Amino acid sequence: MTRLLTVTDLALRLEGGSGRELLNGLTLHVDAGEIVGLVGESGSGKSLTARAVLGLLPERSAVTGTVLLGDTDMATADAATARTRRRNDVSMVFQDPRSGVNPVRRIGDFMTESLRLCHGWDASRAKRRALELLDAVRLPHPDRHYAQYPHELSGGMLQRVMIAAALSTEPRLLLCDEPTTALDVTTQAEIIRVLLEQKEQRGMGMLFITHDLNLAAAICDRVYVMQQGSVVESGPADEVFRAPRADYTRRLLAATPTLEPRTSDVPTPDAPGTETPILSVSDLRKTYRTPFGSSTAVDGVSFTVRRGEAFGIVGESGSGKSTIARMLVGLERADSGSIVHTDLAVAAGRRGRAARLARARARQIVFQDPYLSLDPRRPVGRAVEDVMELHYPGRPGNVARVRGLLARVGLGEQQAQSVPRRLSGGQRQRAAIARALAVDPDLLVLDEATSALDVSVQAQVLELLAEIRAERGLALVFVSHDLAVVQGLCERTLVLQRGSVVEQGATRELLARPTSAYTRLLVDSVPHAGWDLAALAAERTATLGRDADEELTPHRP
Amino acid sequence: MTTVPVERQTRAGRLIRSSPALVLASAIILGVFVLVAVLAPWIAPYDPDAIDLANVYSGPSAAHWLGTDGTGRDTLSRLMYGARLSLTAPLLAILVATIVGTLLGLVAAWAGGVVDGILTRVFDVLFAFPALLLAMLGVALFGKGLTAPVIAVALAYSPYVAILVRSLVLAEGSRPYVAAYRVQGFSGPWTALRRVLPNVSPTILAQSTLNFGYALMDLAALSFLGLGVQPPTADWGAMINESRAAVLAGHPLSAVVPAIAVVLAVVAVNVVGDDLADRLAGRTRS
Repeated sequence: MTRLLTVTDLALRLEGGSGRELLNGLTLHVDAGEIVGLVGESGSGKSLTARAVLGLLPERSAVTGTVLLGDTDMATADAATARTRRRNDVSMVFQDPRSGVNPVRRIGDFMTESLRLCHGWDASRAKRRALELLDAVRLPHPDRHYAQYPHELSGGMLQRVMIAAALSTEPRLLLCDEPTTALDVTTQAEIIRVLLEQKEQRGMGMLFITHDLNLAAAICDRVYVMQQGSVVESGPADEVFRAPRADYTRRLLAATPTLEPRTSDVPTPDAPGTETPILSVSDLRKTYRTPFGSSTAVDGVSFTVRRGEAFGIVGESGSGKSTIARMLVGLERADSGSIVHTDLAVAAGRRGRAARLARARARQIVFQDPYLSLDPRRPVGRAVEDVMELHYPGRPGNVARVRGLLARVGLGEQQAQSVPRRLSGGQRQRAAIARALAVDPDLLVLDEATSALDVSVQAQVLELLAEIRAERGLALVFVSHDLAVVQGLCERTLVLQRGSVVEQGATRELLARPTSAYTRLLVDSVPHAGWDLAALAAERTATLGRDADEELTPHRP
Repeated sequence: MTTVPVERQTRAGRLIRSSPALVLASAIILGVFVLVAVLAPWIAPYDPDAIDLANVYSGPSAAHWLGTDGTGRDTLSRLMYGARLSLTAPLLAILVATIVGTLLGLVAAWAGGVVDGILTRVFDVLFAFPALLLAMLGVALFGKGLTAPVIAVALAYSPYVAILVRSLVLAEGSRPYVAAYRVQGFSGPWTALRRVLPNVSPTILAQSTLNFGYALMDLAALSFLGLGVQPPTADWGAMINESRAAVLAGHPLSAVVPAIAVVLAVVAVNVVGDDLADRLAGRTRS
């Protein structure tokens, strides 16, 4: 077997300033025809390793060790040599396809420019190759896409274009940096299928960077687990994930939510929530109108949430789940339908300060990105205090309550006095939760509240939510794309597709024995051992239709 | 998952943009100017308006370091006294422009809809007139002197501030933390004034610093045209105007000195403003 890449004892330290060690004694190798996973949490040095392979390390960094790509050491190679290797031997697929293409040039220009400019091909030969490649990555209409602009393609289609472009120079090694992280789970399965097919056909080696252990376990031959710039464990994927030796790997695995294997006799747990509904939503509708037409975001959605219950809303991007979350807390106005909050019969629809405050005390929200949802210049302790002072001005003990609340979510005095940018992602989200709880709401809406966090942090935040919920009898509406997380937290779940309810019911029951084809597709699309991508593709086509991917989801912030 | 941005800065760019020496020098120049303006009555060697016809167009000498002008007035003293008006007038104009522009921009962005539409059209119309033209119009309406040019310059610069504030507040207002304030029950005006405005104020401050340099130049130009401060009051623009004849007569010094003062002040303010913008932007957005 040909060895494509050998990284030996690679260390990288930024010069000046902090002088932090970003990589430390990294050793790994990739052979032809194998998929090597590089897994770890953010900041572990995964992406930096890929950059080192490409010879694109940050300037002003001190590098030791070797990165042998074939017989070239990319760590020390001069610019021209490194460029030649990048042109011929190695390609990369990035996380966000949209930031990797020039939005004002056609797909065809993008696909052919490196062939024409770097390899001197003439236009017609380059076009033939581009069309072959677009077909190889299973785009439905290569001819048409060739003349289209990036904005006309969905994220999944564009990622296929990126893969096709990366393959255009017949690389022997393909680096994939979180290529499916920004995509929906059904689209992810399709992209992975294309990648695996191409790997088989071309006998390429792949270095696959991901934070998703389930995905790595499902597709990789070997994996390296990275932590703070070093490899803490490596070996065949099934061995590492079945019997991890390193502590860190064990912790990561424990923190990673997985869908439980489907069994026929899943006991349906008794919902701890009482039967009294705290929230009844009926026939909710919302259509966004733009000068170019209208798109229906929410189409006749009804559900109830009981007091103290955790209710999940799952769906892919564009399914309307975030719109529902925003309508529940009054950030969007529904076109029709009703949202009745039991404690709010009086204040509903009324204007004025008292009604506004009453509504705030009834329900609160935690957003996906705590860095954006906290005021950048307000120390988080003060932010919580602000809310408390607004609702209970001059109440004795407010300061002590704020301190207690922050302590409850695990933030100390020092963190309370810090502005968000001085806190870690997990600490920020804890602060956001504390702020939402400051008014003692009965209902907390969580809009992808753990999606931006690393798995170990996500696990801690989920645990915190479960505890707080039990303590306060708080009802949760948990909006997420992640079925495994929802399964671990929510008693009942609703599945959305393009604004409509596909089905709803007890979570375990629903995920174990889905009655609708769409739910089954969602469940099957989650990476797992023995993942059958061909069968999944057939199921996907049957459920969504051949050209489902072509449909553009309305793009909203 | 974030990618590490590759540091890419040309050497020339680094020299010009963030040379600490240049910023320090500019700050010192501004400090000296302000100090001189404040202390003028105590440190100026002569009365700025004292005419000495026996000593016309004298070159630099021990008695008159920067020489005298066409009526024998000491150039250094006039420069020192002139700094008072030449610096206060634009400061006043920019202060008014910033307050008016910020309020209008904030209202436009926060209210949206029809209000925003109308205000934005008004800004567009005001934009169509160069500041200097508006200022001349103001002078034509209200007469020469200090008040009219200051009001006119303030009016001319407020749409610049308003457009900036509008776009800043629109961008800031779409951030989830503003939605969070809404959900927590804070009122719209409170959020806009007490939270969003302070968060965008560094950028406004930096822009206003830059505007100050332009306003100083505009007001000097008005004085030069004879539309601003009237003789014999000392003002840098007016000093250049009064020395036109002297330049033709071969005594450029009394015009060159105030001109250099204007250039130095404008460049220094711009450099400091640029640096301020970079620093504040770096601090609020990491």
